[in-house]
Amino acid sequence: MKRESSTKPLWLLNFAISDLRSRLSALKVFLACLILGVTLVAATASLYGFIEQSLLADTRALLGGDVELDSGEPLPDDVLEWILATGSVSLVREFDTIVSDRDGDGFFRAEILVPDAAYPLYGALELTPDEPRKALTARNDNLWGAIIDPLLAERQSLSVGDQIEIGAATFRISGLIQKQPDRSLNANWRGLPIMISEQAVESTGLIRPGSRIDYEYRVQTDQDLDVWLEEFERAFPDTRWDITTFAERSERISERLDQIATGLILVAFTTLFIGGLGVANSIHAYLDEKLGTIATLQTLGLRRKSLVGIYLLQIGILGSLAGLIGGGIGLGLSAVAIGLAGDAFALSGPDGAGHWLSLWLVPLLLSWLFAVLTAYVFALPALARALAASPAGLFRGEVQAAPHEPRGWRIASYLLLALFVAATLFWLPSPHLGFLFLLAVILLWGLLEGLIKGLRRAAKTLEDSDYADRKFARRLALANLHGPDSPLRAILLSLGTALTLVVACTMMVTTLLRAIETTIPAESPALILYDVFPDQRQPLQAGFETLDSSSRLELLPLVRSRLATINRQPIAELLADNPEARREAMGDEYKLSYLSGNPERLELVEGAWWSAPAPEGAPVFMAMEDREAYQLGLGVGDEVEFTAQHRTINAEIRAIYRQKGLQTRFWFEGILEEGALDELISLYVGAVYQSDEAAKASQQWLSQNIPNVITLRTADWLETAGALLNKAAAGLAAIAAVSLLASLLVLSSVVSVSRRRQLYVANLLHCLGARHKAIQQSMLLETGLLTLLATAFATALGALIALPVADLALKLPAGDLWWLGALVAGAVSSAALLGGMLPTLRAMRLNPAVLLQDS
Amino acid sequence: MNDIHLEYPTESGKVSVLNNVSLRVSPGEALAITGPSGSGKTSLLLLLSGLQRPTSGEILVGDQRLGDMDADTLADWRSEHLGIIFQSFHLLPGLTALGNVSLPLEIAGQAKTRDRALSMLEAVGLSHRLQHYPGQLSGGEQQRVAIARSLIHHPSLLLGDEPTGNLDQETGEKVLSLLFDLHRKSKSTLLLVTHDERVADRCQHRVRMDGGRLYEA
Repeated sequence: MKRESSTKPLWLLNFAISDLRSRLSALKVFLACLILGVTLVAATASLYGFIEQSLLADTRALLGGDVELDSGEPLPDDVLEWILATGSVSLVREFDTIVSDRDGDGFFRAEILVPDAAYPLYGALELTPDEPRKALTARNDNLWGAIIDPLLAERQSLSVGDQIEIGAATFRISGLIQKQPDRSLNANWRGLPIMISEQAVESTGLIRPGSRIDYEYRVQTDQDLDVWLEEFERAFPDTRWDITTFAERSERISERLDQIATGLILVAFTTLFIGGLGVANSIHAYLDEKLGTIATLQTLGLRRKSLVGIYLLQIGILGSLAGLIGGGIGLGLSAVAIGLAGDAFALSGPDGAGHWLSLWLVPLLLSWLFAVLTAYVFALPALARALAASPAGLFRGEVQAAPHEPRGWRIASYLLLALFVAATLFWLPSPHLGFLFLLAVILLWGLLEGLIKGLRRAAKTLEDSDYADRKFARRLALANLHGPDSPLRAILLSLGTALTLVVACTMMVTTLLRAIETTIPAESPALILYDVFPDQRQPLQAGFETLDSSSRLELLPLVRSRLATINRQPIAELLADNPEARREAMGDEYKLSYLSGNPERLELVEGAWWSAPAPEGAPVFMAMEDREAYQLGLGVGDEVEFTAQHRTINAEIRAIYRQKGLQTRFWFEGILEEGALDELISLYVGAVYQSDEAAKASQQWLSQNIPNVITLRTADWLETAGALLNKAAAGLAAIAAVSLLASLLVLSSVVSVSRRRQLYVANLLHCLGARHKAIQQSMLLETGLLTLLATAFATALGALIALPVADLALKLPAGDLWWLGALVAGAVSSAALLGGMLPTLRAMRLNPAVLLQDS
Repeated sequence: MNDIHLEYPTESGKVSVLNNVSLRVSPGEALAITGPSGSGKTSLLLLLSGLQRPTSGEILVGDQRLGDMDADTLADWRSEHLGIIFQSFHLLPGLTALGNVSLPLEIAGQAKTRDRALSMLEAVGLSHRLQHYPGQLSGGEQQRVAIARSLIHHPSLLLGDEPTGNLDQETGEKVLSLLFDLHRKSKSTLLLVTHDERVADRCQHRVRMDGGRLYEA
């Protein structure tokens, strides 16, 4: 018979499909593992993408832009041109002035806001009545419109339609500012705002040369913000504009969001890896079942190339199927999670076709690609060994896979693995963390291999000892731990690694959630007071006692200073090579205060509070806020000199502290020993602990009795910050829960792969006269031992991974959570192993005829 | 066995496997059961080992009625009175030759299992393979281990399902000689299912199964 050069591709495809269909039960396990793995990754990636974009939109809205440039004068044209070339810009001019009501009876201080047409770049300005800003600020009946803050309206008894005088112009109040996107986190020290148009401000005559006006430019750019800032700094090195990003505006929230993002990435990596383990195990089991077919095809004369083609095709088909199903389910789950989280996600979720593509279609395609790649990466070693199996086994009753894959296949496996790792690192958000994660996994596997060897030796020794004498359940359990077909390695490598990562993630996620919870503490001041003069402390105290006897008032001195020298060297010289630090140090105001009565939750990072003041003549003792100190490279023992009101304060840094919560926005950069600031105190700030309702009454009382004191209710601010953090926390918890649940499913399916072996052994033992109960005991003993070992190992290593990550990457303590790790490890390993064993126990009642019928 | 009927439920209805089978084997006798594939030979062994219950009929081994026993009692009975040799050996791959042979004694909770397994392995000529795992043994060696395992607890009934089916002729002959030699020494009753006429010829009696019925050969 003349043979054609190669088997027809269509026949190969048909055979691949019919061969796949012939082992539907094995395919179920394979597909379940791959689908679950891909589901997890797709859900995590999609949720991550959604939360990231949603948070980005929120944070942009809170700042009003990606970056804010504050200046006392308009930006030069070349700067504006540079900015416009890299994005868009909006200008809001702001100045303080005294406003009078139409009758001229009442005068009050207000902050005049003059936004340009582009304002706001992000978020939405909500006004009452619900009309465009342009219409409300336009000139009607010879009067310009002014939109004012509702609190100002309440305080001054003004309402829509009333007239006010600003400078030389008369305005009619045309609306109220209900929500200003960039205001909720904007801690300023001015009066309450009145918004007018650019045309109207000309008629007030208040903007003249020499007027004190703040030019707030908000920039929107699609570039990476760090790159943008770096390039801006390079283009205009000598400028002294105050450049603010969201991270700088609200450091603690930004820190928490960064931590949450890190947590999400780690959970995603873990999920990805656990899914991969499931895939590897099931592909291995599937190909084991196909050994006979592979050998038979070879004996029938199918060429090697065609044989390889059939099984590569099968894996491709399975990968594609799993990718599309898993991707679809994952994205569906993500959509459900987003739906269930409701308002937590929906506050400002991004819209539009571009976002739809990036949130749903791209992840689906990536899921498919990932599934195919994963299937090939994990299948290749097993496929190589299966295809290298000798067909001679057919004549000896059992075909066995080759012990090692051929060299060419091994190289191909490594290359594919490298591609897979590179693609994974590229896809997932943080390559740096991903790389560290891979290192941790390699280390983990090394340790696990060591543990497995030790366990095998111990099990063999025990089996040979009196411990197993006349106890066949023990002997069998021990033999199953060290014998040639022992599942110990496969199960412990899968279970141990997955559990370790689950423990590490649980500890980190819990640490994060705990940190988020304590960021906004239960007891926060309801009212913040600025600009309290020293002689107003007494009347203020008395007033609050009369007004609300249950309230508590804490007053703290506030001394605004500038940093002049570090270790007796002027900072301009010292930080010449570090423009950013120099800009910060020279441009920033350093707010100094005392410790006693301080409402901030200060946590020592380095050093210790002093028990006695510094000796006479020596620099006074101080503690410095951690970010400020670290940015300047300062530590305990360094000396700094501040200037305030033409006087200098020399201080020695004895401690570094961090502000834990968000309850006030004083953000003192330095805490000095009592008495050190006494001669410089001209202002106090205060925090009043009372209900929000009482705080509203207090504001009224203050505006009437001590009007110079600026008050700020914290309820709105805390609500805004709380909503943002809760949104992130909800996302993190949702992803962690989905990941944990699906990990459990993958692990159960990994364990169930060894069910065939367990069933075989159980039936054989039953034939030999072992009672079902004794067989169950043996299985339980083996499973119990594995559970115990996996739990102990995972707890120890999971904690070892989580603690440094929490400490270094998240900067949060997690040491006290080891018990939670142990609990989760125990629960997951028990559920996975027992869950995998239960079907075997049920199936044990099956007829052991399989042994006699030799099928 | 008296008037045994066995039916299996299938998707297309019940399939009758054994019909009106009656058989009496005397203690110490060696009986060969021959017949074509699908004639019901293995089903007969399953019934005799108590691993399957007949649809109707009665099985007595000695004075013990298998139908009266629950699953645990049957397991204990197998552990004490029954030895089985499979065509594909079915040794536990995780246990050494010594471990496999001592398994029935350990299941029965007996003492000095290793010593007895050792002497049994010596009897089958495998004293040099004690610590080898099944995967490290040849087919003939594996079946010798399986025979040692089936006889170590001195069963009164020994069932063999094509015990030489997976072995070459020379090895098969050696294994058979060993099996019949040990059978004679142990005075157990031996029932062998086989296609091989030479195996059947070694037995004192033979019966033939065909279409689920038993015929005197």
